[in-house]
Amino acid sequence: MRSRRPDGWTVAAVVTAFFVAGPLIGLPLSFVVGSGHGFTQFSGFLPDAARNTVFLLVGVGAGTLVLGTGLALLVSFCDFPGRGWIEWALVLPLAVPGYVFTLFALGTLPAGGESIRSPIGAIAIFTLVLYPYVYLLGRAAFLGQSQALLEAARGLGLSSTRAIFRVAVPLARPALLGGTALALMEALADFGTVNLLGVHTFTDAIYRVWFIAFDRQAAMQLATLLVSVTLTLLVIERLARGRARYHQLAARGEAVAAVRLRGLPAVAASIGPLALVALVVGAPLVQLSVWAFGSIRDGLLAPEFAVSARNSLLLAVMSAVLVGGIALLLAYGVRGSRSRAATGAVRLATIGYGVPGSVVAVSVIVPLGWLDHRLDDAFGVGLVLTGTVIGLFAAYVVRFLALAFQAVDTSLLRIPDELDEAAHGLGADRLDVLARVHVPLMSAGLATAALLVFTEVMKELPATLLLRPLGGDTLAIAVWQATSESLFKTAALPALLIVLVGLLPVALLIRLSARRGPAIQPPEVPEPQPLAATI
Amino acid sequence: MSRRRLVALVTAGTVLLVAAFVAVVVATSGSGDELVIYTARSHYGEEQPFKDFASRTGNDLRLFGGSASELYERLQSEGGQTKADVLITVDAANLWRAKKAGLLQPVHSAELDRQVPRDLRDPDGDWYALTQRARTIMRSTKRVKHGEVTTYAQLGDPRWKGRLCLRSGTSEYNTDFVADRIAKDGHAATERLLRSWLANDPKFLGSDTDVLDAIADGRCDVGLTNSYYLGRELAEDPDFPVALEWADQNGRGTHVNLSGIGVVKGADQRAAAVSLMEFLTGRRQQEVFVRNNKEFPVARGVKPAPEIERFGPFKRDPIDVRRAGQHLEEAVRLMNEVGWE
Repeated sequence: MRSRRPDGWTVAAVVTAFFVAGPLIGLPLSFVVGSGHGFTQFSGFLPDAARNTVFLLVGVGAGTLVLGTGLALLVSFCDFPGRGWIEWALVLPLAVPGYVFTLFALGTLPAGGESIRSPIGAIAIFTLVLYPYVYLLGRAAFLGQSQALLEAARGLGLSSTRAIFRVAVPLARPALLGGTALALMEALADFGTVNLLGVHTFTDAIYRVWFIAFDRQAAMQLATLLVSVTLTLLVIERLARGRARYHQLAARGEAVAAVRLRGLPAVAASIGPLALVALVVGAPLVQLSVWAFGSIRDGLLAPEFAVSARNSLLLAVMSAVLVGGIALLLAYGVRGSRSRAATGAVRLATIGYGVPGSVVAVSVIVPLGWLDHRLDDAFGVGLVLTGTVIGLFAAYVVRFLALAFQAVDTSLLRIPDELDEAAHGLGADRLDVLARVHVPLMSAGLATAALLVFTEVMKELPATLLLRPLGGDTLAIAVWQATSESLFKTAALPALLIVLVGLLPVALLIRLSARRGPAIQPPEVPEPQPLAATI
Repeated sequence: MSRRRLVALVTAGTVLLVAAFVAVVVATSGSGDELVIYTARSHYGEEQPFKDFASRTGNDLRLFGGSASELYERLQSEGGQTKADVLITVDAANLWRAKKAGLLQPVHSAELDRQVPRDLRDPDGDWYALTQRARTIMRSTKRVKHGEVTTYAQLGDPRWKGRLCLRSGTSEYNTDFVADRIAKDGHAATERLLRSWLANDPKFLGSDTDVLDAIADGRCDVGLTNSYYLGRELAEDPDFPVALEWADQNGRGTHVNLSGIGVVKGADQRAAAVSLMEFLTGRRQQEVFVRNNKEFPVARGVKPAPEIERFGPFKRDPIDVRRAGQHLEEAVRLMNEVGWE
């Protein structure tokens, strides 16, 4: 029998959520406390940042939507030579962080990459590396649609092309919108790409106000504005996801049969996506390898390269376990109680996703620094929070908890309550249920959560830049520092490692999903599967 | 999975995690007896003097890189508990700022006083210059004649429309330059100067090296960079098609900034820090800075790099450290207002 009093899981979830969301919720305080004139003093940064950010969002939104949807339509409704593996190859750009592609482009294009040092250039780069979000969600939605529905449309006199655009695309609208929102959040959170390209967006303005003008308060105020934009995107994404559920339920039945392409269209369908992946993943890999080899030969490696690699690995592994564990705790808190308190708390705790690393850093360092000095005053222990990796872990938890939570929560949601009750009925206690029912059913979700956090931490730049402790340089920092000095060869080896490591989870994601084509989901936006599909 | 296995797994995982956590915290917190240096100087190719110091004295050094403003902010938030012993900046205004915020402590050493001229050190001994850096006009040797552009103001001449390259406005070199102008010429005159430059639709590039490369391959004709970047290009390729013009020789002279070093307040390793300062400002290491980096030395009697010396002697306009420091914020705001990206 399920108990009604708030249990330990719920309390733990609420407390955790409070700590995770606290720093971000505290941001608006920057408007009321302190000197109070920071905003007017640096409002000069605002119009430029707002204009560039809006332009970037519109461009990236349109770019990823068109490219991602187009590719998803192609692989879902058409059959062509190589389709089987091209549809997975199209996911690979997820492994290339924007700033690594920027490094590649700046070092390869003529005239120092001048042609891409503009908002348009930034839009092009973001579109190329972020379209997989739309592609993955779109593909899952298309493959989940039923053949019967399309046949009905055809029966009503539509050509198959028109049937796709009049029925399939509108039905997939929530998924496409959700994918675009995710791509936009990534673009909004980016710091490295826009900074290297000299495009003055919000994240760049926050950095400039904080570090060039030394106005932390104004930085926090700008951050507050940026977070509100991000939250809007998050709401759009969640609404879209909510609707996706009904759309999917409405479209059950036999899966769609693909149209076999022949002749020129078939060749184009094979070569087009291939060229795209070659440009976004293949070319950077080759160029970075050449540079990396050159840097080893000429002794141009970044100083303490080995230390950076070790740090990256350690931080990534430990964050994966830590953030995954907290996500599991929260997911159980919600499942255990179904109380409003727990659900609300989790919602709060997961707003950090899509909030730029620099904003997370600003919002974490202020309260943590305060606490640190109080602790030091009281116990004389030195700066145990901001002076060590603890501050960095705090930022990673705030930033990536949502990512891990959604992966864990999805797999937990797929386990029906009836299963728990059946197990209880057979005399199992709660721990038994966890050990013998939940863990085996959730192992894929847990692995996904850990892997996602692992790669995100590997490539995370702004928060690491601002919060890394002494001796805590990472591969991403090495790439960034060398690229800012136009030392592309030196930047190549760490960048290459980041991409290669990033390919692992993408590959695993593909493997996990390959068994059941339609089930592949980017874990950020899980669409709850109908129960029948999981039992 | 059995319940016992789960409990064992979770326990083992937790123990491992905690152990790794402690290990990482300890590993990244450093031991107490190493000399911790917060340096804004480039990581690349400039670490040799530090390595030499480490091997000569047996001190363990730990370099922590970042822009001067990032390091300042970090020192500020670490307060008295910082592990840093030494702060090195590549500009004067951030030294002044650190001194004003009480982040540095005075150092007195006969050797330092002998090696560093009075006008290149803080009157209270809070910081000492390591090297000097002239920020001046660069021109293409192919498209711009010697003497065609000789003052900072002339970079605002409409004839350079679309032909001027500038480094991004976030660079300390540029913010210090503007702050020093505001201090000496006033806000209005500086704003006029910047607006005349910006009216030429300059290309904004990421580094001084990018500016020189842009001039060399014809994307720009003139630009503004520190002289040693040209020295490095010329050392690699004597035919590099860019030359410098010493700016404002009939006026106040060419803007000269400095890279400086100071001991952080509360440093555990004060003695080692002072001997590092003495070491770096000594004749031998000054020669290394000149030879490797083509910067101007602070030590007397050390000759400048031949790649730069060939442009002849020049009249210097040393940065007014105190007043440039005071005007730094104003400079950042002004640059943003006029659109210096």
